[in-house]
Amino acid sequence: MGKATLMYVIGLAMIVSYTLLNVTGSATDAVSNSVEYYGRTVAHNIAVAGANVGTQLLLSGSVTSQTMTGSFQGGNYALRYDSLNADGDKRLTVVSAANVNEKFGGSILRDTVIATFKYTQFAKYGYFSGVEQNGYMTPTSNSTSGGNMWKVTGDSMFGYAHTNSQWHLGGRPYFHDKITGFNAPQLMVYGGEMDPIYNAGSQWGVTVNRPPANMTKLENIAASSTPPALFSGQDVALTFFGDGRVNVRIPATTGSSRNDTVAIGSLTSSGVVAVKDGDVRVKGVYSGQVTVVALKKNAAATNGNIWIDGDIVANNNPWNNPSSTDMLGLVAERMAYLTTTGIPRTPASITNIQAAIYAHLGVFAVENYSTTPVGGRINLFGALSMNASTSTGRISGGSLVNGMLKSIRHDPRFDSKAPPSFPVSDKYELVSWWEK
Amino acid sequence: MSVMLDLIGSIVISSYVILMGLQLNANIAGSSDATKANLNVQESLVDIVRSIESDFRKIGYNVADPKTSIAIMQSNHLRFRGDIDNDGAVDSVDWYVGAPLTTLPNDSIRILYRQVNNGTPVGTALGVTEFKLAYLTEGGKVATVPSQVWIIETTLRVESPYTVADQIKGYEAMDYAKGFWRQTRLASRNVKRHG
Repeated sequence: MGKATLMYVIGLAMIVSYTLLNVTGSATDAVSNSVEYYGRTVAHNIAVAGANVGTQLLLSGSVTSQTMTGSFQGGNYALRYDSLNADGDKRLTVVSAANVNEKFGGSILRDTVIATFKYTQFAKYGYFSGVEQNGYMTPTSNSTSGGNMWKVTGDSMFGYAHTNSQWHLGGRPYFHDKITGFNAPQLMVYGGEMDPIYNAGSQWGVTVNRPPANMTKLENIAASSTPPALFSGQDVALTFFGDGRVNVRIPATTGSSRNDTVAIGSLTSSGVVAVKDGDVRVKGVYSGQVTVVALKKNAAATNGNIWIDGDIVANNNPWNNPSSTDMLGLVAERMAYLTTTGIPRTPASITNIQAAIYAHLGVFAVENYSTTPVGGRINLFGALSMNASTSTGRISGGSLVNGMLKSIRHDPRFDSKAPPSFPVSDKYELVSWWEK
Repeated sequence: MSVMLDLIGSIVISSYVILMGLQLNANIAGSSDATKANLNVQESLVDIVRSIESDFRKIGYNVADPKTSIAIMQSNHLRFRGDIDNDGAVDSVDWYVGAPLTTLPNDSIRILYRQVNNGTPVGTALGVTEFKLAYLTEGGKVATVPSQVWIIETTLRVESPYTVADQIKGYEAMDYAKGFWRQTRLASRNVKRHG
């Protein structure tokens, strides 16, 4: 009886011990599992922290070394900047190391974050202004009208909207995409309302520089093109055709120096055509990708203007076909005018422009907008960046009495692409962010 | 007489010991069962969470217009665009839960599906009983359209398919082993890269 009881007790103890071992093992596995997840989370957090540090340094222009190391949450990270191309695109690679698991007998856990950056492309803005004041300059004077420009109820903007100064907003203007600015906007009661609609959010304290070096860069690109596509001292007229050709007239009025029609690729190998110390007049239907540039002779000069003499649209309409590869950039060092002199229009007229427009010192405007007869509506589908704000017409008593109404829609293709060598800021922006 | 008393006494004591042993065995078995169920729930939860985190971090990656990164924003169904395998081609990825399964003792369990590029949905029957998504704007308000989404708050609950004994109260309190995870600020940098 004693032996049997002893055997029973020993057997039971063995079974209980084995079961307890399993229970303890499960508990150990649970802790191990938890530590593993925690360790990976820490390694990830360290990599993200390093990438945030590296990103902030790059965006603030404070990078002093190609590589850097740091520590966070008890681990370390190493980051490295690489230049990707001549356009200045950068890649930031961050590798982290967390030793959380090592303390529990595991290995060091690593994680990687890779971010790429490029200079902010002005074509991505549906509307960009240096200052929200009237920047219209007549063809013969460099002085501007001045005066705050207001966006009010009924106005709508599609595409990113930015000003390097302060928005003046009355009532409920609508911003479909994100709106940014340097100062918080000045608001005004209009029609009993004072509540702008920021459909995709807003951010203030943002400045996007417009480097003058863009003009020099474009001049150099055009000059080094094959054949050279830099013309100097005379106005040039370019009439585009849907088959990819363009008629070149120099000077623009007579074509006495040059008047021929060539393929865009034969006119410029770089995609950039520039005129220095002169104006450029454009119209027609373009096919392919080209940027037309007008540069001033010097600071006091009043040339360096783009004149849009009529409809200028893509052969493959990007409005209907977002995969269209036809792109036109119009870059004016001074003004981009929609010509009214000599072009008959009625209040029912529609003028279509499909282009990314950049006016470095001036704005895009209707020629003599405050005195010219009512000329209907401008449909701009593309992008618009200017030194100041613009007015294309004069309204009195709620009606248009001079100039033209305008409808500006951003071409979504310009979110990621742009016409050849289109101006960029000296500020980097994030293009992609890869986390495992 | 004393022999008889010894026999009776030993039978009583041994019976008591046997009952104690059986009770101990039952308790240990229940505890083991509960521990393993909890471990399974935890491992399932971690597996799903790692997949979700890995995918959601790539929302909008290599998408030209980040505003188009999210295509469907429902409380139990997300469709987003992003180059999840970093091959240069933008993928379309769905995460959603199916109807509750009726074949398991825990009739709240659903299959969590992941579908890539409209391919065959891959379901994970890992005990998911709740998969809830909330979409927030940059300012932390509820987003009403996909282009406003800045943050995705993800809630996940995983339960065991059968009830197990409570590790403290024992068999008197049978319940499912549960794991709960909520990520309140899971935001892909690719979605908010403008500005």
